[in-house]
Amino acid sequence: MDATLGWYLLVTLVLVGIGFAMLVVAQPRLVTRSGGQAMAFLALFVLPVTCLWAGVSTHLESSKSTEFCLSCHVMEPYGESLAIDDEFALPASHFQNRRIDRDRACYTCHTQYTMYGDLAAKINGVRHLLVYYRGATPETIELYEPYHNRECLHCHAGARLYEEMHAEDRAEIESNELSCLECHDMSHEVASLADYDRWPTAEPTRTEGP
Amino acid sequence: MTGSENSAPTRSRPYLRWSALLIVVGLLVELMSFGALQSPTGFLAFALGSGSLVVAGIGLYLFSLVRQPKAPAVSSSTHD
Repeated sequence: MDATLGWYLLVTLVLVGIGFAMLVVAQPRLVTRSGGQAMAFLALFVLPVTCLWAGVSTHLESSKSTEFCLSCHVMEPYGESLAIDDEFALPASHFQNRRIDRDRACYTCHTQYTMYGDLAAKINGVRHLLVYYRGATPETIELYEPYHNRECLHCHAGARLYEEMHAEDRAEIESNELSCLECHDMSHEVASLADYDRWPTAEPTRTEGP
Repeated sequence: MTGSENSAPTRSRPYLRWSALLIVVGLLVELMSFGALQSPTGFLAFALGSGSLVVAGIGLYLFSLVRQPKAPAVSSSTHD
């Protein structure tokens, strides 16, 4: 579905939900008449549940965007690292060469992170927001667990270059015994960003946020 | 319409009104949260504000359904 159409449908749905609920606030007599039970069920259960579901879906979808991740100040250096001019820097070379969708740059490689993983990951996602708003962000941000090869193999498994170059150690890589980052060890490099030149063409920018 | 027929819906009416009010405010917050879709502010407003208000409203409505007393059976003796 076209994104704009989806957006209008969503807003219309919420407005209809508000309209029906307001009708109950203004005229509670309506829902106590014959047939009113059905209207009450629609206004106070069906529509609100549908609106909530649509809202959750929309917010989760938008939180996958690079813009969303970089809207937090603490994430700015990670966004900047996508623009460093070094072909061996994994995030930068993936971003600049369009090996990943630029609008989903963070989510593509951190799929099991925060809102997108299991229940514990979702709770952690909300906790991150609270920690951020309380201003208690740690100096150094670390992953909860070592980076999993699964995130690389989403795309690289089955690719010719990967299959040919890693014929000998494929089993170890796929069982996560040997981390991809053992050899491809240049990731975001946020501590030494100042040492690198920038690729000026498509530097990700922080657009809005707290 | 007799008084007994009218009493059950009348008693549940305040619950329905509060339920609807919570839902209206919750959905308004949801609508506002769409304005900050690309930042955690919108997400937090939706998750903590809208979500909790709408869920509370739905909960109150369901509670009103459970609480709603059944109309007493009409006694045949009244017609004697």
